[in-house]
Amino acid sequence: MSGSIGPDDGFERLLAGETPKTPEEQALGLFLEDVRGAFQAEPSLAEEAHLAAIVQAAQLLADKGEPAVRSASKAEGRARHASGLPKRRRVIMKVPLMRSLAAKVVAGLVVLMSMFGGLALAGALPGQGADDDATDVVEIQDVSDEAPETEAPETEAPETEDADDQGENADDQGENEANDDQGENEDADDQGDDDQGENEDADDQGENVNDDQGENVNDDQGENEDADDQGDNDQGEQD
Amino acid sequence: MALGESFAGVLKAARVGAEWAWRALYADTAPDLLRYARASRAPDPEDVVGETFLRAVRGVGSFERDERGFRAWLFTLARNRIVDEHRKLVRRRTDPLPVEVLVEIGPHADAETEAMRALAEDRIRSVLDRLTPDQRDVLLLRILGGLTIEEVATVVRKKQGAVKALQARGIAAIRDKSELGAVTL
Repeated sequence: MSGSIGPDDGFERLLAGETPKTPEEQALGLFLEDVRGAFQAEPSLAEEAHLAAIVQAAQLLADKGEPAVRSASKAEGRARHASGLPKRRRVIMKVPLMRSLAAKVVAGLVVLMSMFGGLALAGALPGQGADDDATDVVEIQDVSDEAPETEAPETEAPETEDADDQGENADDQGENEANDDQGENEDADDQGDDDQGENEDADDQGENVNDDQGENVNDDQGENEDADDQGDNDQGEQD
Repeated sequence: MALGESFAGVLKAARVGAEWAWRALYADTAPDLLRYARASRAPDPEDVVGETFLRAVRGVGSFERDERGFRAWLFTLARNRIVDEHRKLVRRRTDPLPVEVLVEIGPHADAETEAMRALAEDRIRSVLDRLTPDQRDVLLLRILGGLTIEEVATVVRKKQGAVKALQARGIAAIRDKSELGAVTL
């Protein structure tokens, strides 16, 4: 048949059972009839066996209760389980902190501490004003009656602190002495480094070191070097 | 749809295992499922129908849609089963059945009717084989399953636009490559 199949609208009308209007729809309608005729709805030989198995399975699952009835396929997406456990678990995960008794107690303590702390800063606590008066009286008594005794601890405390500081300073001084020594050594090293950068100075240092070694260890070495130098000079002179 | 307004009551009874409810659901849907399984070249179409309903039994407790949705859900289960059967068929070798078994499960109508039906089926298959698997699936679900574009999209897990495109291309392929008159009985 040479007729072409019409657009989707014609296909939808034919599927709805309407009669074809155009030759194109007629051709398409014949094709649909052929498909339906080729695969007819015949009575299934296994119908009773299917129904027996279906009913048995359905009654078995119904006897087990609702939690056992779950989605057998993910075709419709992940189905929610019939049992209530996953939902409860989700709720717990949403508010995990407030589920424990300890968390509630801690939260209450935090609220109380913040509240009384604010009151204490504002000086609004009941006994806070009396304490201030008492301290004022004590301060007045200290000044008038026992000024030396009260001053002594006050002065002793800074003295001890100063003494500690001095001790620390002494230690620091001792450390500084050691550091000074090290500093000297470092200076010497620095000089050595600087001198190494300059060849002429390095030569000078070598001379200085050799001088020191000569003084500390063997004067003969210095003399030998001098002798070598003299020898070189002599050779040069001979050349 | 045969159940119509009574579907909600039937579904409720099916959830508690009422035999009459499952018989009603089976009578309403199983013939179309069997036609779809045959047209999709399922190795054992009746087994596909039985397994589909057994899966429906296990999942009906959480099913909360209407009759159209129930029908589409069953076709989804059937399609998944067919796909699984095809995959298994590729992996396993087939054992030939004895002649006695073939005679028992073979056609029971008269020879002329069976011959005409087999001839028509071969012609239709020759046309459907020219389509891609997705195009063939969409057309069979629409023609034999009676599903809408939206329902087919749910079954094949594609967007509605993709299903419309597959349907249009399938029809165009049939139009271009076949003589529809030759298919007509």
